[in-house]
Parts: sequence; C-alpha cells; structure tokens
Amino acid sequence: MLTRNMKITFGALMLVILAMFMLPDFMPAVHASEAAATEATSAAAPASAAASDAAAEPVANAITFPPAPKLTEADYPTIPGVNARVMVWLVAQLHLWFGAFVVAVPMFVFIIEVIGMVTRDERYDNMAYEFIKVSITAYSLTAILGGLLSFGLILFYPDLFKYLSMIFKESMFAYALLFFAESAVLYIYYYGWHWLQGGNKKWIHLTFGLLLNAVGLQLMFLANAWTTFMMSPAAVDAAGVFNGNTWEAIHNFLWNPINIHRVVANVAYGGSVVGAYAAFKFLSAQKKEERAHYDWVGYNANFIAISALLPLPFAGYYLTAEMYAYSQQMGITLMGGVFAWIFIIQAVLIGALFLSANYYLWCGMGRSEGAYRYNPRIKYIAAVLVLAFLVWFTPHTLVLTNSELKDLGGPYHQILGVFGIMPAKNTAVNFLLTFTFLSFVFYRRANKVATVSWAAAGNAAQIALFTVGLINIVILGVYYGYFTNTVYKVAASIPQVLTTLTIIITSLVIDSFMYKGAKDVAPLHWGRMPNRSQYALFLLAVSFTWLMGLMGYVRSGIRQHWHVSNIFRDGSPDAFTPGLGYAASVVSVGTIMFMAMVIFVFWLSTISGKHVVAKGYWKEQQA
Amino acid sequence: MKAYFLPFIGAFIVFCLVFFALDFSMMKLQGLTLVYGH
Repeated sequence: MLTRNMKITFGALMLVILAMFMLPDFMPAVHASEAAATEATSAAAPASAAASDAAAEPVANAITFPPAPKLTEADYPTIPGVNARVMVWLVAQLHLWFGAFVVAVPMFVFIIEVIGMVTRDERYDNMAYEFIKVSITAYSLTAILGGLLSFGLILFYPDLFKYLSMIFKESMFAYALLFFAESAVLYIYYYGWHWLQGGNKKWIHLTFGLLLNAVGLQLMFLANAWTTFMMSPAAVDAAGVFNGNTWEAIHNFLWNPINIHRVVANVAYGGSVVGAYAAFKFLSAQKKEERAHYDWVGYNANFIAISALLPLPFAGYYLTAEMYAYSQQMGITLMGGVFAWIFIIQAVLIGALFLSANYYLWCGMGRSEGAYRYNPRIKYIAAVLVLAFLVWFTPHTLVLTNSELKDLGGPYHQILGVFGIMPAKNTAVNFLLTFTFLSFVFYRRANKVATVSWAAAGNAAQIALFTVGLINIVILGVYYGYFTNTVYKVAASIPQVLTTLTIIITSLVIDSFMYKGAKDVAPLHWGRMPNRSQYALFLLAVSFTWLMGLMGYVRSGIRQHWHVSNIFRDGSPDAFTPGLGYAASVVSVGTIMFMAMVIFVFWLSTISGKHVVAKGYWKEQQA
Repeated sequence: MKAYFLPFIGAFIVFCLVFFALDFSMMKLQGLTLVYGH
C-alpha cells in the first residue's frame, strides 16, 4: 500500500514537473521573441541566403501595435463617492503587503523544514506547519485584494490597463494560470503535511515546498515586470509603440533590482509578521508549555527577520543606484527632491526596527543563567545604536521659512548638515548592522562556556576583527564621503558593505570553532520573557508594514505625471503629487487596515483550534 | 593579559591587511584608486 502510494505520488510529481518544463513551449511569447531575434539577425546580415530565407516569415512584424494613447480627464471613469487614486493606491498596497507575506512564508518554512529533517527535532516541523497554517488565510486575502485591484484598474484606468495588457497579455494570462499551480501545490503541501511524513515521503513533501516557492516567486517576478515597465519602459519607442518583444518588455532595466530587493525584503517582512503571531499567542497563552513554545517560535521568527534585515539596506541601495543609472531625474526626485523627507520618515522607522529587534534579543538573554557575563556590555551597544540612529535620520535639506533660512545661513544646518548625506548614513547603517550582529553574538554565547584551549586568543581575534572593521567603515565613510568627489563617494559604499559582511562571516566562523563541544550553562528557560518583549515583536511588524507602505508610495510616486515614464502621460484628475502629510496619512490608514486584517487572520488560527461539545444540542445517535 | 594581548595584536595586523586588500580591490574593480587623485 505504501509503495503504491509512493509510486502514485512520485508519478504525479513527475507529471507536474514535466508540465512546468513544457509550459513555455505553449506560450506564444517565447516564439514571438525568437522570431523577433531571427528578424534582427536577418536584418543585420542581408547577404546571407539562409538568413534571408528566415526573413521570409516576419512573424513579429505581422502585428502592428498602436502608440500610447493621449488621455484627458474625460477618459477616466468615476464612481460618485470613490476617490479612484486612493482606492487603487490602498488596494494595491494591501495586496502587496499580503503578497509579500505569502511569498515569504514558503521560503523560510522550507528552510525550517530542512532544519527539522537534518536535526530530527520535531519542534521545527511543527513550527513550519504552524507558519503555513497562518499563511493559508492570507493567501485568500491576497487573491481577494488582487481581484479588487484588477477591478479597480479596469474600472478607473481602463486605457492604461488596455495598453499594459496589450504588451503583457501573455504574461498576464500565464500569471492567471499559474494560480492553478500555486493552489494545487499549496494545498498538497499543507493538507499533506501529516500524511507525507518520514523517509522518502518527507523528501516528496519538501519537493512540494520547493515547487511552492518556485511558483510563488514566478508570480512575483511577473507582476514585478509590469510595475517596473511603468517606471523604466523597454521594448517601446518614444511614442509607446510596442516592438512585439515580450521578454524585452519584461526584462526591463529595473526588473532585476526590484526582484532582488523584494525577495530579501519579503523574507524579513514575513519573519516579522509570524513574529507578531508568536507574540500574540505568547501573550494569550494559558499554560506554561504553550508560553515556552511560542517564546521559542518568536525567537526563531525574530532570527529570520534580522537575518534578512542585514542585507536589506544594500538591496535597497542597489535598487536606488539602478534608478539613478536609468534616469538621473527619477533618482534625484526620489532622494534629493520632493520625496526626500519620506526617506527621513523611513529612516526613523528602520531605526525603530533595529532598536526593537535588539531589545528583543537583550530581553531574550534573560532565558539564560549565563547571561550575567554579558549584560554589563549591553548598555554600550545601546549607546552606539542610538548614536547611529541619530545620524541615520538626520536630514540634509531642512523645511524652513524664509526668516529661518536667513537665520541659519542656508538650507543646511552648519554642524549637523554633514550627517545628512549618504556617506554618513551608509556609515551609520553599517554600525547598526554590526552592533545588531554583536547583540546576537552575545545572545548565542550567553548560555555557553567555551571548552577549547584557545578561547582567550579567539576572543582577542574577534575583538580585533570588530575594531579594525569598524575603523575601516569610518575611514571609508569619512574620507571618501567628505574629501573626494561623488564617484568615489558612491563607490566607497561597496567596500563598506563588504566590511560588515566580512565581520559577520568571519565572526561566525571563529565562533563556530570556538564553541565546538561547548558546555551549556543550563537549559534555556523558554517562556521566561517579560511581556514587553512581545510588544517589541509587534513593533517590528507594524514598523515594517508602515515603511513598506511609504516606500511603495515613493516607488509609484516618482513616476509623477506619467503612467509609463516618458511614454504614456497620466491625464487623470488625480495626476498630482500629494503633500507628504496627506500621503503619510493614506499609508497610515492602509497600515491600520492591514493590521486589522492580520489580527483577523491570527484570531482565525485561535478559533480553528477550539472544539466545543454542545451538550444536549445534538440528537442521541442510535448505536 | 598576555593571553589576550599578543593574539589581539597579531589579529589586528592581519585584519588591517585583509580590509586594506578588500578596499583596494573593490575600488580598483570600480576603476578607481584607493587614494583620491584629482
């Protein structure tokens, strides 16, 4: 019976994989781009007889595409009482929040399942299952919001939707069909969790997890292409006429930078949301074992969030650098112009994120009997984090009245203005990351006693590593930031990043050797956490959500009065950049709406576990 | 004290060289020199 089931499952899996490989052959887009490529090569070598034979079938030229329409206010339908721009803005943002969550969860659930399989610790398997359970409702909400977004775009921006669907019809159709694959894989992965246990079945289950990740990422990459096309259009001429090359339109300039940024950011965000879930369950736990379990889950979630948070500033910086490379005007609007102050608000939220994540780790040290050895050093980490935070959010250009401008002698503060430019911020963020990592190192070490003979030398080496690395970060920031030109200033951010990464990786390697065979001071007291530490986890999720909303607005807003940059002008009545206060208010309302929906999702997980026996309600069954 | 001091000095020198090499190679990869030339 077991062998038969295995054969059926294996066969079905092979069919699915085969289908996925064969699917591109049924997509016209592939042939269109191949035909276009053939057309291009044959145009370049007209002397070649073989090439001119190929040119006899110009498939791409058979379809002519219209230019981008020139719209007026009358072309945008309205519904009384509905502000189209705000509606689409909020729904798109809600969809992205939930979408980010459901793309992220399979990523870290896959890793947690692997850890469970390697360590054979069932707690990891149960935690992975619990995370997927939370995300199931979120999938429905993502789809509902996606449907609402599609309706919003069709109803309020029909010409834009028509133009984009003309270019992206194949990928939009594939996107819709991929949901069958995603649903199938997700439901098998979730409902089959306790069926596909042990031996080969566990490997089959893990494969479904991998497939779920592949489909989820594919969906995100397709949608990313439509978004980035609007910012950095490709495969269209100045009038917006499409050249027929779908792959070129998908693979536009900002596509991969946003893919990288969103993959990393989603993992960090997903970790923070499941951390909030763990905090919610911890605070509402009735039994000590339940408290201990959700304390452990919260720790793991915070670990996922921080691990992905470490490379995230650089993924964002890379995206911004690519925006500048694509269009200096867009880049300057983003960070040097009207949206610059949103980045200051973002800086405040990110600083709050770091302080919150560190605070959770410091509280976590109370689980260990050996933490007293490291507790006195926490205040120095806190001081550095606060100082770095202050530099991180110091603005450059101040919002001033004319008389204030005159008193100050210019738009920048004479002393603090130097902290307003990127080299200072890069230095500050590298300090935030390094010291957050240091908090984590202390947390890990708190419960261990090294038994190797060279422990003192190992510690000395690590102190030297941190000292030299931090001095290097400061020199790179100060010298290249203030005593060279812009090219050097921007280029110096790369060695700064790599210095932080070198510190982290080298320290982890030294620690892994140093603590081989280490003694535990005592078993960790999971559950021995103050309630306020769980509010740190809530702050993590809220901060993340809020700043994602702000950044989503910025990314969309830098297109200003264009639907598609420089190609398709926005003619709607709402084609204006709102005041920062208004924009921040809309994002805040969205954040509250999202949090309400997330609390609903958490509450569902609570009620699904309840089983009430209603005495006297049901008829007695005949034996 | 000696157990910390000598390893610290040794590691300090090693990491100075490591980060110097890192800075030099990263700036060179971007077509720039380590020291700013006008």
